[in-house]
Amino acid sequence: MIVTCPFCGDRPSEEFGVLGDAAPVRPADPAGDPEAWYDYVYLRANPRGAHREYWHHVGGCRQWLVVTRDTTTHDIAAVEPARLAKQTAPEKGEP
Amino acid sequence: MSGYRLDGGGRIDRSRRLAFRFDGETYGGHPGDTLASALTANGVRLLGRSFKYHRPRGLLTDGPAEPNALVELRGGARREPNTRATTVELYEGLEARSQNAWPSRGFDIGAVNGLLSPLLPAGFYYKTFMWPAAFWERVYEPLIRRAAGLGRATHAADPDTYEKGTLHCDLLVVGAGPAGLIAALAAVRAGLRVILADDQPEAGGRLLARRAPLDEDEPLIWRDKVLAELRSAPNVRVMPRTTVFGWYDGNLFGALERVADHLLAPPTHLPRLIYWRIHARRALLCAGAEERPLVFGGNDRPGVMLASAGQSLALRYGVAPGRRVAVFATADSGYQVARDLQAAGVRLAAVIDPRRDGEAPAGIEAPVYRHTVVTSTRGGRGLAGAQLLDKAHGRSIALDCDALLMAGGWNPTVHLTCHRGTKPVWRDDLAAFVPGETGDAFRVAGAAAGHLSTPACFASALEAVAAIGTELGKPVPQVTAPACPEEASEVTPLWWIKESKGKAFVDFQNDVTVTDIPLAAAEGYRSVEMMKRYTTLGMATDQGKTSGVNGLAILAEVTGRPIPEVGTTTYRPGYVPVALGALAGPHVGPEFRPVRRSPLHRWMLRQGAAMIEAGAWMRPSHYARGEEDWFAAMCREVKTVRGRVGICDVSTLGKIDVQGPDAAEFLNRVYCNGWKTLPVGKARYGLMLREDGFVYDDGTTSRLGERHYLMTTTTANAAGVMAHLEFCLQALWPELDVQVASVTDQWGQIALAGPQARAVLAKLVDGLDVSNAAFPFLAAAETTVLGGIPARVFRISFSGELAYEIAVPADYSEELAEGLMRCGAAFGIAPYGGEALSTMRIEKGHPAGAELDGRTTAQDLGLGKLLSSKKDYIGRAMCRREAFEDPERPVLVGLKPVAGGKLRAGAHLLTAGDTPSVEADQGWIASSCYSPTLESYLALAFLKRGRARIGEELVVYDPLREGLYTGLVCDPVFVDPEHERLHA
Amino acid sequence: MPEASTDPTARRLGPLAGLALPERHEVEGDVGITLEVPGPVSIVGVEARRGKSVTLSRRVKKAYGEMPKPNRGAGETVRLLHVAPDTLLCLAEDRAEGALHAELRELLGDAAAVVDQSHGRTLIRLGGPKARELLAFGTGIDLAPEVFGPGACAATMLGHVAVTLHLRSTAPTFDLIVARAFAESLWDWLKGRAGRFGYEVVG
Repeated sequence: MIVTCPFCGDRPSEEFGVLGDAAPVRPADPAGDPEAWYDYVYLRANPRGAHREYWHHVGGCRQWLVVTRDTTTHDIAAVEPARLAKQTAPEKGEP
Repeated sequence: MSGYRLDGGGRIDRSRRLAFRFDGETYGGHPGDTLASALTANGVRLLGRSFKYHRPRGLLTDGPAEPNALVELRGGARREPNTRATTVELYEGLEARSQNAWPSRGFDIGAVNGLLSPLLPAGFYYKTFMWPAAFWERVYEPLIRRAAGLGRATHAADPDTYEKGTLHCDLLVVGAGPAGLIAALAAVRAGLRVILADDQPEAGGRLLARRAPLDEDEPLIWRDKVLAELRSAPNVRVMPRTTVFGWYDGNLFGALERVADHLLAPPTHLPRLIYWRIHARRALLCAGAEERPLVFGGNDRPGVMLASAGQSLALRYGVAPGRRVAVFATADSGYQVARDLQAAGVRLAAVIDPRRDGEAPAGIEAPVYRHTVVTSTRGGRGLAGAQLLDKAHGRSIALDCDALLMAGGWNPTVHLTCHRGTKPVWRDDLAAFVPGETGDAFRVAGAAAGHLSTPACFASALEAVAAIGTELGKPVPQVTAPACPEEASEVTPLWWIKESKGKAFVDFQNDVTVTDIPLAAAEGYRSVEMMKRYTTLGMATDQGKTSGVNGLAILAEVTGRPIPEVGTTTYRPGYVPVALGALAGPHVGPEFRPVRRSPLHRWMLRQGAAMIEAGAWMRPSHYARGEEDWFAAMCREVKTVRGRVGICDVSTLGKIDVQGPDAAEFLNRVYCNGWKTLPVGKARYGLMLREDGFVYDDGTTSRLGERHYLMTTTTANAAGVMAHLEFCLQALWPELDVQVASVTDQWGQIALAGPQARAVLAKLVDGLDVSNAAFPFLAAAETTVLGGIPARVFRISFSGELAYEIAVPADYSEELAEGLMRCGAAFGIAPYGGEALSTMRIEKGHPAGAELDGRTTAQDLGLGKLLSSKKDYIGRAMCRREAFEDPERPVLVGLKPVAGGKLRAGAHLLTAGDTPSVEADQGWIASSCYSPTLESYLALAFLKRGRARIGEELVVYDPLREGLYTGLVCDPVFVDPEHERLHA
Repeated sequence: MPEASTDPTARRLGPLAGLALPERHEVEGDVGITLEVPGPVSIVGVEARRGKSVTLSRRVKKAYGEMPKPNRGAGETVRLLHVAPDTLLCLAEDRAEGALHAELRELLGDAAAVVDQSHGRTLIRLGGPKARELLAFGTGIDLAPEVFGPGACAATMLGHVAVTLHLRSTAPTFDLIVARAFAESLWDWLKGRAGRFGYEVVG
């Protein structure tokens, strides 16, 4: 399938690597709540429907991207550079 | 008429004769024939034996849906089983054999299965071969496979080449029949980029096998005009012999182009098949419809075939399907076939129509039996006659005929539309499933959408293209469809003839009869998916293309449910069998995957290196001299390095250029140890953790400038570390001003190791002071060597010897290697390979891949002191977990055999006297080698409470390799534990 | 720094030395593909420091002309390929060892990280009327003239190898820039497919 990279434009999906869920936010304090770290490192949501995921355009511009993909249809609703997405990501817990 | 070849007509070239062989007999045919049509022309009707009952079978269809006429095509390494004779284009020298018949297709011993058929009902295998379980593999499976096998695959390597490619278009038109042709024409005129793919060697679809005029002329005249316009247009690619076999996410289509299957062998420069991935903004399915057989007694006898197949034989190939041909039709299309055959010079025996109402159409020069069915057939290896039942008068009629054409209605070719989960929808008026809702990206037109008359095909195609043009911003100009007469296209379904005598087949390929379905239902297999698996209806090479709808309609009737409620089985890609070679494409043999070559690759080969794969890289294992084997070479190389000096290619290590104002801060966050104090001109060992606290990678990083570092990674993790750093910079800490770039390929790098290393280096450099005082352990410098070659020199060591690594821009690598050999000649310098390197790092206790296996912690490796507590870094929060500090965790130790014996990686460690068990396990050997330095086997092992057990004797348990030794636990640094050589 | 007289450029030995030798292999009396490995090429990677993309564009423009748009290449003496955000691949022919790297560091100063890749990347020039058809066997991107016209560039995969493509002219002439270690594999891949169309290796 075709993925529209924000820099490169339309590219075949085989140029991309997928890391997974983009929702978890790295806790700021390394000595902080172990539960928060456990969640960050190990727990991933597996939703039906829209899912924000980290993809890497490893066979192209090498940008990390946040891809919003419908897990039931694979339709892609949005692709944004991870660098920018960090500022716009919804806070954890928001729908 | 010679044989069954008609005197005229057809798309064959009668001026040329092609010789071919079938089951050892030589026959003749013409270009344009298929194997099936050529055999029929020669009077060969018996083409093989059926799967289960070994019944004689002939051809049923004229295309890819063929369930019966499967042959082994070609010979030797090119032998391909289960090839449909109806899709094989005839070529000079073609060789084919029938399948599933022994000793011959005329006399087949397996046919006794037909007599035993009462004992072989649906589910027979499940019921019979249940126990004992141990018999499955040894007795039942070989037995069943021999009795019920289809063709034989070759065991020889495939001599042909295959290719993969990608195409892009605005509109993919699947099928070049009337609907596909007019759709492509309209789209091309609108300026869309079009691909027109069709599985046949020439475009036209059903137009190739019918007489109905277009624009009051022969239908192919219109086709030729369309093709001429398409050929002159720059924005269309017409792809004959190309089957679109799958629809995938994002409107990606898989297609198979048969480049050379119509030839005896592919020309050397061409691939046999090309697997195309077609990215289509829009696609239009114009794949037509498959005709349905009728289910009556003896409907599998050679000579009984689909009406469309008979029509193709006569009109496309110029072959009479028989000398007295009857048509059994529940659809109006049967009369059209009868008229076409008549006009082509075929003698009609009768038309049999179960329908009661309405008038028989005019113009049929043979008896037309209305309200009549066929109940059975007769004949040996071919049809000789049919028994009819006139239901209006309750009389039985014996009909002499040698071909019986079935017109049971049409199943739109919905398969592609189902590949992404869309379910087909039942239409009572057509008595067929039509495609379900597939969205704007994939539309359907023509007979595939249920438009069974030609005018409706044209109209639906033009309507679809108009909508597509609007969506893509390319308005479609007015295109006029050719004038064509309206056709009757009524279908009255008749799922099976209940008055049948003898076996009435639903699925010809799997020998499923009409009685198997009620049996399956009675035994509880009422779901269509269960019925499929229980009876095997719809399985194997044809995937139920001719049998599926009949089967589920019968299931619906016997279970008293409407057909839509029963539904269809799931249609998955591919629509036709796809050769595995095409899916693999060119990625076999030397092209299995791209190879990475060090800039010293050819130099190393000239030195006698034996190369081995390391990931995508090729690396030298050893440099044999004279009669040396790898072991002797390794021992010599180790002694050379430990005693004198050697060189080793380390170009494959990952090298990452790290720059920017925040570079030191960045290194601090990705490594577990500290970087803020590293001065310019120095290197430092760095250990990277994963966020879960386990060790990820290690290497040395050097500070080349205030804001400029060079990181090295292990060869194996180079790409992963690069991606990880990019993730950290872009997703985790976009505020850091750091730029990273892989420079692995920019530098050729050579390790120079051994007591004489400094003396050699001094002769190599253009002026750098390499004295121990000026260039101590872990020094790093940018300089030049060999008279002006830019170089980076690092004093680092993997072998444990006094050692340097010298890097030059890669195009000078060979010159560097030659220079080192020249400068070191007086000292007895020699190149060493991976075996010697690995031995020396074990002797020195340096962890490598086997120890950094993703399950070990810094503490396990004895590197716990590197874990900084003054900063945050990847893995910081998790690396001090309770379990990581558990004193019971296996940690890195050395191991030596007490009284000889081979220590080998993978062996486990036991306390002396314990019985081997998981509970008693004390640890394992990660790496081992024979040490020429210590003249003993050595190992690096992970051992519970290991550091407290130095000096303890353990049992080394290696049952798979019959090893049982006593090992002595020791410090992992076997050679030079004080590290004096490093600093010498 | 070495003196100009000690410039080692002439001693460079590229990964395709001895492999890319002139030859002509016709199919049906014609060649559809030309292949060429240009002499020593200087290739330098440039990535703007945070917040310095405007400075980068300005300095580039001063020296070499307008900064190319994303996925485009431009420039005469120094060719600039805009291959990733704030990232350029800069190419020049006939330069001394390290000269282009030094020139760009001088020009860009603190505005960008400048990394010499002259030896780490190999340039292969692919031309001929069948060039696009050949590339379709290795890359999934759309190379149709209306989509990928003269001046277009793309970082992509070709035959499972990462390459940067630059279409230099309508002819078409594509420059393929590949990691050095994969150059021989890519060369073999190109020649393997070029054999179908007929090809000429230009010396």
